[in-house]
Amino acid sequence: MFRTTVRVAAMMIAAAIVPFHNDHSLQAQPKRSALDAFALLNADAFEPHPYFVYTIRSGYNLPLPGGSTATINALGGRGRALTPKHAPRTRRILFIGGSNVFGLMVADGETLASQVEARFAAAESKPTESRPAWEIGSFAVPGYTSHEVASAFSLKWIDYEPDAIVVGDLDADAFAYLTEGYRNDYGHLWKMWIDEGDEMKSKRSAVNAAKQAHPLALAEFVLAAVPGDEASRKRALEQSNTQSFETNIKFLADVAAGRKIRTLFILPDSRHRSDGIEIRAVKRIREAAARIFISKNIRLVDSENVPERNLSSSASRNEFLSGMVADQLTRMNW
Amino acid sequence: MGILKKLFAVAFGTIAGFALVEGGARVWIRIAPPKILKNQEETVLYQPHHHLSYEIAPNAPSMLMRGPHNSLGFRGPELEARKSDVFRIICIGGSTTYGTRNVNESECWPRILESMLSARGIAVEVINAGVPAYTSAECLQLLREKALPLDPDLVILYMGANDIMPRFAPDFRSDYSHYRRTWKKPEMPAPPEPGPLAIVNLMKTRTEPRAPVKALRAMTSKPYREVPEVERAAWARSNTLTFQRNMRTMVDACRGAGSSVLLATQSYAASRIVEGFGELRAQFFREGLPQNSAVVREVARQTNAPLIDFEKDPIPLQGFDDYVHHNAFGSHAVAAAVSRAIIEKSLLQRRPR
Repeated sequence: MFRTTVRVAAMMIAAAIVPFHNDHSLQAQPKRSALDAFALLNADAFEPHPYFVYTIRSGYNLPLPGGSTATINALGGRGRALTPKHAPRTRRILFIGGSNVFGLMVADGETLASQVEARFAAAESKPTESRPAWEIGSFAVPGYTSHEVASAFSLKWIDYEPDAIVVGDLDADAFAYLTEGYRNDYGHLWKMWIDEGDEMKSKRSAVNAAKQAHPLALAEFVLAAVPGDEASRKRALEQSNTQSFETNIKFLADVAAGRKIRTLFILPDSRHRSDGIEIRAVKRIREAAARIFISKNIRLVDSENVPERNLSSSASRNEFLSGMVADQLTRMNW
Repeated sequence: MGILKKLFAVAFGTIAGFALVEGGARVWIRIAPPKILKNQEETVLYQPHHHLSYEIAPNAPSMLMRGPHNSLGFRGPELEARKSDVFRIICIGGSTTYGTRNVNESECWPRILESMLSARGIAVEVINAGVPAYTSAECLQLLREKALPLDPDLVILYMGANDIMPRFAPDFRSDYSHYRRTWKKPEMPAPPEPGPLAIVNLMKTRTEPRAPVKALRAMTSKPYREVPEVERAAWARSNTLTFQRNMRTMVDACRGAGSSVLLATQSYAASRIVEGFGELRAQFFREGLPQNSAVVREVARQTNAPLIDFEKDPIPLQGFDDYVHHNAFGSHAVAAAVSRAIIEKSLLQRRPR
């Protein structure tokens, strides 16, 4: 009895210490700047949009900075397409958001949505009345801020009649805070991508292919400005505010609630950012999101609860995070 | 000698006359502003927006039946800081809210509404957030980007006519991206350069615009083959689901933000629909306007939102300047109906935030 008690106590102490232990053998890689990764995206995989700045072209296989390829389905989402109609006895979950949820650095099977789907598939056999099937779709788009996610959800993704949405993590808003000339509509960050028409686009692609030139980057068409040096980013952060971010996520939550769509929000991770200024920008998003979603009684998953040892790669991060997300989804009041 | 004198006089007169005309043309070219055509006025008024497709430029200049405009691109005076004891109303819609046939801003129904409510001793501020040609998609975007941040107590949603156009454009998409496009402002024509013969250049500029001029719709809508068979096929495949979704979403967003909402069906004069349209498009409007009114009624029923039904209680025919835009009389009638609804449905209570 005494030995058992000591063992249990030791296990509990170890469980408390391990997440905080800095395991040098599994030193987390410095996070690749999301902006660097965004800058490598090929413009041919996207098209201009009058309300969301840009959108992914359906049916396009998008080469990713991490080396893998993202399969874009006929609906413009990543991975397997949703069935046209919401099947009975099925819980339809949409993952929406920016680069992290999209899985800019991972293969199709390693995205957060795929990993959650795999967990549900492993846990359940036949759906029944009391235990419906889960259908997971991912409509996240690399680079989307809270503005584009709120727009695309209300004007497009809501038509897929989800039972729940998983929103994460909207850390692209941090780049709006770090870019000088702050505007609430993020017009200092985005510029309008002029629709050249399909004919011009085909001609351009053909010319690039013939010259074996590097395809034009999406960033050249849509980014009006980028964060500058440290002094510039400091100034930018002081001039910016979270009013737009708060309006957008409140809007998202309210629109979802109006249709009885459950919402789960993933707080962004401020660890392993390029510097302290970026950390402050992400923390600002975390605080604003937590404040709003707690006041609206919306479930949160904190990606900072992913242990350091799981941050060695985006795939292992998603694998751990998917457990937290799946757990919250099953606990929802269905 | 006499003949020579005459010939000399004629020659001198011709040369002098030509020199005067040429000289006058050169002076005119230098001092006269470039000819502004009607469609170019719209080029000046609007600017692209990455989330709204287009907006009225902040502080856009006033011109006939347009303006004044404030720093948010709304028609009306600059907004004052939010006061807790002033009831703030925002009116969202298209040209029938903006007031494209109202010469003065004081004749637009939101401004008349403000006067009517103020006359009752109510401390109220009414914001005209109407933008010409906005569909429900742009209205929804404007609600999120510009209106809700102003913390309104009441949002009035008045639209329906502009959602008919996307239905007869081909390759329908539920986000209207088959209809709207990204765009840039066309450049204004440069003053003509005086060449060897300025009078010839001047005549050219008065008959041939230097740069293509485009109306708002041409700038912001995707071009397609506007032939009856294309439009008929598109219309046959279309429905009102997008309009209904957007209206429902706006109601949910307003309520979630703590604002009351008042819906209104589009006021229109059925007998005047044929004016200015081809017969086919007139048919689309004859079918589409009642359909959209039915949608607004259904959304009001689903959400238990107060409703003004201009289809059931129409504005008198003499209040219309065309099939849907009101003159000063019509604007007054619309404002009176809205004011009555606000009072009768007890919409002046500020909801707790």
